[in-house]
Parts: sequence; C-alpha cells; structure tokens
Amino acid sequence: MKAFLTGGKQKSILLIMAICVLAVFPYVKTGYIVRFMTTLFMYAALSQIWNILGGFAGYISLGLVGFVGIGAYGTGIIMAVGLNMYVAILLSGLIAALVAMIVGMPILRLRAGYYSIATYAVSFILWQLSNNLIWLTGGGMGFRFKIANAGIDRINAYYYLNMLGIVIIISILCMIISKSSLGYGLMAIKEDEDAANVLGINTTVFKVVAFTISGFFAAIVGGIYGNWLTFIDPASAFDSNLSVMVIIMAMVGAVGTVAGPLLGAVLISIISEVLWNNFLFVHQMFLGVILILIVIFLPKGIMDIFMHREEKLSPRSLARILGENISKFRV
Amino acid sequence: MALQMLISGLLLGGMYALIASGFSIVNGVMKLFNFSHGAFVMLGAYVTFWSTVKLGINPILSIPISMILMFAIGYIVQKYIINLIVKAPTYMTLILTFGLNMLLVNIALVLWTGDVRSTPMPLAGMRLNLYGASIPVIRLIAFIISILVTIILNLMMGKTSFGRSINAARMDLDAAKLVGVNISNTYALTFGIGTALAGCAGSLIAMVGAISPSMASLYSIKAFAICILGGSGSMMGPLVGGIIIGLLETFGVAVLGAGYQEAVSFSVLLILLIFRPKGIFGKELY
Repeated sequence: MKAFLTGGKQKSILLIMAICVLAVFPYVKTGYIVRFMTTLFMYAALSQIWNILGGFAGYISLGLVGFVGIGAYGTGIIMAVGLNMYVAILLSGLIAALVAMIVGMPILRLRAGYYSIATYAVSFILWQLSNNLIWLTGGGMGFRFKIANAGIDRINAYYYLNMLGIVIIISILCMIISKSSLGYGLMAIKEDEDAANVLGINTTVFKVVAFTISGFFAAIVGGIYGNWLTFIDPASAFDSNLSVMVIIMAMVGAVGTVAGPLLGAVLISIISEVLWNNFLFVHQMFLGVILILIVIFLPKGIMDIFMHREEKLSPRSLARILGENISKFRV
Repeated sequence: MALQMLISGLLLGGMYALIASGFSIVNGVMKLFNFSHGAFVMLGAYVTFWSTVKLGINPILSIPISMILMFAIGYIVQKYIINLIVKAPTYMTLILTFGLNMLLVNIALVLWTGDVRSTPMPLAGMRLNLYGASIPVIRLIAFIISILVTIILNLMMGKTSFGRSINAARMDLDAAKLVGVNISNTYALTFGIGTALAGCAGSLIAMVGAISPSMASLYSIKAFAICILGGSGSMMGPLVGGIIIGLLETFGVAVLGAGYQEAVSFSVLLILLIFRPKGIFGKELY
C-alpha cells in the first residue's frame, strides 16, 4: 500500500489503466450495477468538491446540496427554453457560481460553526424557494426533463460516462488546487486562520474563490444528475441527506487529501448498499455511529493510517495510532 | 387581529426561548455548537408522549421525568464521548454532534416511526379570551413554565457552586483547573443541564402540538438562530431572541403564508450572521 501511494510513474500507468477499465465497463456489464457506479461517481465528485473548502480549509459546509439543486433546476429550466444539455449545464454552473460568490462573501467572513449553520440555512431557503416558486420550478409537483429516445442500457452508459468524466475532471482539479497557492492558502487557514491573516493571506478572498469553485462544479454535477433522473422535485434536489453523505465520505476517506474523498465515497457507497436491505433508518443510524467514531478515532480519515507511517501496519501500531488520536484533544 | 398575533407570537417565543437557553449554555461555556440539541428536544417530547399515552401520567408531571432522563443521557454523552474531542478545532466537534444527531434521530425513527404524534391533553381546547384575542390555556401554561424554568436556571448558574464552576470554566479553562475545578465533570454537568432544558422544552412542545422525529433538525437550527440573535452565554439573550423569533415567525406566516415559516427564521439568521454575529446581548463572538 505504501509503495502504491508513492509509486510515481507506476502509479500513473495503473491509474490510466483503471480509468480505461471503468470507461469500458458499462458496455460489458449492464443493469443495476451501472446505475450504482454512476451514483458512486456522483458522490465521489461531490465529496471532492466539498473537500476543497471543507477538507483543505476546515470550513464544513452543510449545504452543498443547495448548489446541486441550483444546477439540477437551472439546467432543466434552461433546457426547457431550448438549449443543448451541455450548454445548459455550463450556464447553470455559472449561475451557481454567481450565487456562491454573492452568498459566500458575507458568510465566509464568519468562523467555522457559524459558517456551517449559514450554509445549511442557505440550502434550506433554496429548498423552500423552489417549493414555493411554482411558476418557475413546478413546486412540489416536480420538474420533468425530456426523456431521451434510446434504450435503457445506452442511457445508463451515457450518464455513467458523464459522471465518470466529471469525477476525473474534478479530481484533477483538486490535485492542481492542492499544489497551488490557493491550496496552500486554504490549508494555512485550516491550521491557524489568524496566523494566515497576519502573514498577508487575504483569507476571505481565498475562501470565496474556493466556495465559488465548489458552487460551480456542484451545479454541474447537479445538472447531470437532474438529466439522469429525468424528474426532480424540491425535496430530492435539495435533499440535505446528500450534504451529510458527502461529509461522511470525505471524513472517512481523509479530509484534505485528493484520494481521500474518493476512497471514502467508494467505502461508504458500498456499505450503504449492503445496509440498504435493512430499513433506511438503520442505515442512517449506522452512518451516524461511523461519523462519531471517525471523528474520535480517525479525524484525519482512514488514509491517516497509511500515510506518513514509517513502521509496518499491525494491530499494535493501529492501536497506537488510535490511542494517539484520542488523547490529543481530550479534557 | 394584531393582538392575537402578538399574543400567539409571545407564547411561541417563550417556548423558543427555553429551547435556546439550553443551546446557549453549552455554546457559551464550551464553545460547542451542539447540532444534536434538537434531537434532545425531540426525545423529551417523546418521553412526555409515551408517558402520557402508555403510563397515563399527567403530562405536566412528565416534565421532570424527561428533564432527568435527558440530563442523564446528556451527562454521559458529554463525559464519555464529547469530552474526548472538546479541545479539537471547531469543525471536529461540529461533525461529532452532527453524527450524534443522526444517530439519535434515526434511533427515534426506528423505534417510533416517522408518524406524527399528538399527545392527548387534559384541558385541550380550553381558551381564555382577552380583548378579542383567544389564548389556548395549554399554550399559556407552557409559556409560564418556560419562563419559570429559564429564570430558575439562571439563578442556579449565579448562586450555586456548580454554577460558579461552570462560569469559571467558561472564563478561563486553565485557571479553573488550577483552582481545582474538575473540568471533565463540569463540562458534563453543563451539557447535561443543556439537554435537560431541551427535554423540558420538548415536553412542552409535545403538550402544545404534534411531534415527530424530523422536528429535531428544525429545532436545532432555530435554537442556533435564537442564540445568534440574542447572544449566547447570557440569560436575557435566548429569552429576548426567542420572543423576537416567535413574533417574527407568527407575523411572517400571516404575511407570507405557511410555506415560508421556517424561511423567515432562517433569513433572519442569515442576516444576523452577516451583520451582527454577536447578537443583542452576546458576551463573546464565538
């Protein structure tokens, strides 16, 4: 595992091979699993997006789904006017970016807890707005997209590939960000925002930029999502569960890394799928417990176990790592 | 008509003030944003519901029961779970209480389903008439209890020894430790008091209206909004904030329609966060 993480050239080749396999997959095996994978890619993409501000900078957004909803509804409305899907998606992304900039500037001046509640409030207000502005969104009756004139397997494969494409694009983006001055600035904010300010980093600008980028790409994901489902309503487009799942995935993986959210998305998607046979509520309960355990024992995510460790992984060293994490912040 | 709305808003606001008081103590002392506060409100409501329906206990008598139960749960949760990460950066405690909220709400959903429940109350439907405004007696009782509990709480915080140790921990953690305050216990006590208040508020809500597990998140956010408005860590803060929000919501629904009830509180919250996060009586910013 350690060799894999530091492999360099070998790693890139492996990665490209994996992507090729994934790309061909929906043509080899069709059916539910393609939809499952599409959902997985969507969550992976959203976890990455969330990670930009949440993982790197430590600003936990509870309202990511708000921008997804803007993307879904925006794309639908623009397409209803007659524009092509990709154009509509891009435009709704720009709208979301604008909203993010306007909303972000005031709320990003706040510190962590207040910001989180503000994001939740924003997504909630967007939900109520879409519920009540019936002339625009159809309200509770929902919004229909045009259904494509093609076989179900082809449609599944089409959206699978779209989501895969988005995940790849966003992961590359996150990798670029993490090595850029934006990324370092955000990480400095997480470490100590006051110190960052003193050193001359205009923290608000950095945060707003990150927020705007998140909003833009979340909307793009939302646009694909809406088209894929062909039917959205306020409750599903602005479902706060989605925000929560994304946070869990990013935390479980590792906040602040690039591969972390992907890993978390895969793990949690699989666990959710397995637990789905039980009630939805038991599955949510389980996720709540996982979240608590992760925050206490592995606040840096599962990747923490593997990274920066000189010794071999064994039950003993694992116990030591967990013990370290507990004792750091207790009172 | 305006008098009716005024009175309704006041009665609602009193209960909101109680919910917010619990949140405010925890927030003011430990700088903890307890996202699961609403879950404790919800649990308190269900304690009252089940004790009335299954055990036949008078709802008012169920209030101490729910307060003690919620205190116990809160104390244990703080002492053995939250205390482990209390000194961590804010985002970690946020996520922890968030996970706790998920856990509690979904336990409630599994045990009691998402159905909306209504507690059968004695005196249901009785109303007082005051200059043309109709006041449901139960709401009036709930309002009085809310105010009483809030006042008693704040007297306790000022006069008793554990109240003083809580204040000491708030002012300066290390200094408090130096003079012998047991921080772990004190924090657990504080959180327990906060959840006990939540339980009391929940019981009152069960007496006044319908309940379901999904109310938890809503009340967490409202508690937060009220504490932002009124300011955390003081007595007047949640009280004034609660009443203002109660009035705003009542008038907001009258003007904009029921679909916007929550949007009113949330918009107020956002505006406050932007312009005055400290609130009216706030002692600290965060």
